[in-house]
Amino acid sequence: MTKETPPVRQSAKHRRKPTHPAASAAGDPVFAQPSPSPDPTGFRNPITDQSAKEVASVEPVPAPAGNAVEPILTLEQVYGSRGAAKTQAITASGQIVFHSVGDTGSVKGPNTQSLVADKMVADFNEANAADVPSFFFHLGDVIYYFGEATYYYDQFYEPFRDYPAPIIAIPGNHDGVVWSGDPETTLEAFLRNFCAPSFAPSPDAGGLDRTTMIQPGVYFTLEAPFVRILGLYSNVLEDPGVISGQNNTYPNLDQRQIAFLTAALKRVKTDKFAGAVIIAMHHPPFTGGTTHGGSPAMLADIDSACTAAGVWPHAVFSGHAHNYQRYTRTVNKLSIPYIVAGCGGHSPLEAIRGTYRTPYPIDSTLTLENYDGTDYGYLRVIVNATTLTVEFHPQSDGGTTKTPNDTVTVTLATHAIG
Amino acid sequence: MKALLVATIQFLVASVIGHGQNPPNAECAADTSSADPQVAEVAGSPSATVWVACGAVTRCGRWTVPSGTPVVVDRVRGAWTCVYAQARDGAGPGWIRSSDLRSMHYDLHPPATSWVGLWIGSKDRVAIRLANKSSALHLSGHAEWHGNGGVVHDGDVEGEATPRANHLHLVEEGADSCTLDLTLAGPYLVATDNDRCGGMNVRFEGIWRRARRRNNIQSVGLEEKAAGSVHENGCCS
Repeated sequence: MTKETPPVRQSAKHRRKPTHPAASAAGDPVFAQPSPSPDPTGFRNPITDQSAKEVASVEPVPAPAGNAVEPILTLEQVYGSRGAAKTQAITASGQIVFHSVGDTGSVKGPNTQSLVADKMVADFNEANAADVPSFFFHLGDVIYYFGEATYYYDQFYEPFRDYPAPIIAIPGNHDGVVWSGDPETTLEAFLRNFCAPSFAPSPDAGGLDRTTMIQPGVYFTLEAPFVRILGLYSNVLEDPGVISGQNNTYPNLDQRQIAFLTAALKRVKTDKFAGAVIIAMHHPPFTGGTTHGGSPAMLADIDSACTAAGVWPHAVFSGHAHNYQRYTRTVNKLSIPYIVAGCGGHSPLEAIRGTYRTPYPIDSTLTLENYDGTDYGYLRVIVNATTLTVEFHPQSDGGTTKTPNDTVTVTLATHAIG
Repeated sequence: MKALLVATIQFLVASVIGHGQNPPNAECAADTSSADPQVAEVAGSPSATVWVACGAVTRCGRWTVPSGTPVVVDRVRGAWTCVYAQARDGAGPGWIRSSDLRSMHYDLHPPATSWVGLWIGSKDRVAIRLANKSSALHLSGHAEWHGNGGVVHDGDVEGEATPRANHLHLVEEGADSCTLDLTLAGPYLVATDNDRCGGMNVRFEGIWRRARRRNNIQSVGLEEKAAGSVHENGCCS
């Protein structure tokens, strides 16, 4: 039995020297500032009216670039002219490491999200280059409560100014919500900052150096060595997550995301892709938090695509609930981790109702393996040729602690959890 | 005729639901944090079922709870009551048939000596003794959360506070400190905290009972001696 002392709760910021990419060629991406600087204590542009932050109807989903059925973004593209060398180095090292979490945007001030971001930046201080994260896959709700341009500096560019790697994102519900009195359209700022046609300084970055991301849309496949992440946009409702029209329940939505997911999963099979397959969306299929519920109809949509393709993911990531939860779902005799990581810094955290000794069996197909309703934190994901490992790192551990509070490893060939 | 038959079937179905064959598909958010938690006991023989409501409206299985187990009552809906309950695998909100509960009556202004003792719930405990200061009580508590893989996270609290009626509010010294709220409900102590009292998922939360042994309870450090030897006479060891 491991005895762990209560984590030290940080109240002061500890700025660490980040690792920076070399000066990039014209048109290449930039990920971080050239030198660290103290965190601000307040927002430049705080939200003054938080009413109308929840909407009652879904919004149409923007078409991806080229109207592709399966929009694809490669990690090589994300790194610009350094992409080929980067992916070759990852392949040669035998593993890829990346971060993932959602709900980083804060409306109460930068403190909580900066604490998480700082610990993530600390993961770039590694003796072994293979252990350094290659990107951050954001699980949505980058910006609260309204995903508008004016809040991008305070809630995204500034907190992650020292994060020296690409940040790729699927939108969460708040990224798509626009305050009723503002002229912006849904996802307008998200598309400008994450789905730009080329790397460029963002007008929303407040002069910081990070360039826009070049995602092909709000749903897409991210292809990287050892892993494919199939990202979905689960729309703007507080609950549930929605990725299709659901038999005309949502008339302004179509089946494009189901077609995308099915095509992406089928391509896993036709490509004989042996790496990890992760499905990611903002709203969790399962959650035990106090505020948010699960999304059973969205889960049925995802299941239908998996069934049609005959391919099931090795893990499913989501955010939305502001805590950490790890479930194991048994489906078709496969064990699939369903991980909720909405603890990226949005305050307050969302408590779990009750206290459960884990692993806690919910029914014959679903077990709550672990959870943390008391800490901000993030996922550190490691994939090699044979396994997918997902670690949960609480922010309260501080930057120098590298031992995760929770870990799950999936054997890629068998979907067995070890 | 067909419409009448359909209406009759609908009435019968509604009647069955209305009479509480299934727990309500409604939010149940009972916890121990109420300013004045109402404690009742399970009266089912030999046990009753609690439908665990771990999410907003999500149910997470069922607990079989022995008769005599204390619960904190939140609200009644039809034939069902939303309660905070404790079982072997956890503690949290859930729906129980109202007929499986019996109400309790307890002193709302207990003397300070009624608080004194070692109170335990699962692995969590708080030792209370009379403080040197007039009418104040000294508290020393320890709580644990047991997670996957045998990992244990823990937390401690210590300080002095003066009860008001059957409530005790303890604030540890220091910024962003632990706050503990206790309510004495007859033989039970209802505990809740501000989620700042320990590591991952550690909560001073639950409905605790007095440990069987009351000897030497005023000795400093008893809680440490008691940690490995005290036996709970409750439901949830």
